[in-house]
Amino acid sequence: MARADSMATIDLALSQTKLSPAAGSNSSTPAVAPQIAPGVPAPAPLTDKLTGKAEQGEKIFPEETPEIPEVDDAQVEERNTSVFMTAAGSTVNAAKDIWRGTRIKLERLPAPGSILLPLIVLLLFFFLLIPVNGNTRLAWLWLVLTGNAEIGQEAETATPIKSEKGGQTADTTPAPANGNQVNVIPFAFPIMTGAAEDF
Amino acid sequence: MTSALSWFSTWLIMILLLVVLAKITWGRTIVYYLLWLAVALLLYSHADELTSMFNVSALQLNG
Repeated sequence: MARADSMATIDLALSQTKLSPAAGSNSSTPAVAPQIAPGVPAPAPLTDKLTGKAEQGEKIFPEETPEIPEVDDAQVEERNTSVFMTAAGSTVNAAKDIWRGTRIKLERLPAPGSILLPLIVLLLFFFLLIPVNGNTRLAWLWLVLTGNAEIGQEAETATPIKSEKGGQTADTTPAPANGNQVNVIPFAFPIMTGAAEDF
Repeated sequence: MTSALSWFSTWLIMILLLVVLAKITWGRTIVYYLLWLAVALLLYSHADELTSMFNVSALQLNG
């Protein structure tokens, strides 16, 4: 429809600029009217669509205003929710990447001797540091091995042996740092102090 | 009795947590270094008692 209107406009312009040989003598570039070949029927006279429309008062180019879509609160809320979910998802993915990197670094840390080595050392300290009846377990073991203590059936505890020559035997037990007082059990060891050891 | 029970239960829970951690690949490394940290802390806190074993009277055999 628009193309037909434009073509009509061109035809109208061409028909208005059609000049006769006498009228075109004053112009610098004489306009050449379209010549119809002999035997070809003359074209039908063009109707002045434009002027006809203007006379009728019809608008040539109707005013078309773009329709503004109405804003819906539900749509806005849904859009905001989707934006929030996208941001939350990216944050979660970033946290997962950080955790993955940390886990890989932890797994790559060397652990010579596996877990058994520090456990054995702790067990050794358990025998070395916790006093029982005045001596540590390792000290009692040393006394028994050297013959300075025996496991008696009467008291069911290891007691130091007095030498036959009289006097007490040489004290081979390790001297406690705080005299004869029982050491306070440190927090690290899960055994309470003062427990009587039954051999 | 209550204090002993809470003390014992605390230790038990801590040991269980360490056991569970040790079964995980990355947790095993953490437990390993925590145990060595415990050894280091024990050495530091009981240095006097450990070194007192190496005095002359302690090493002397009963004649």
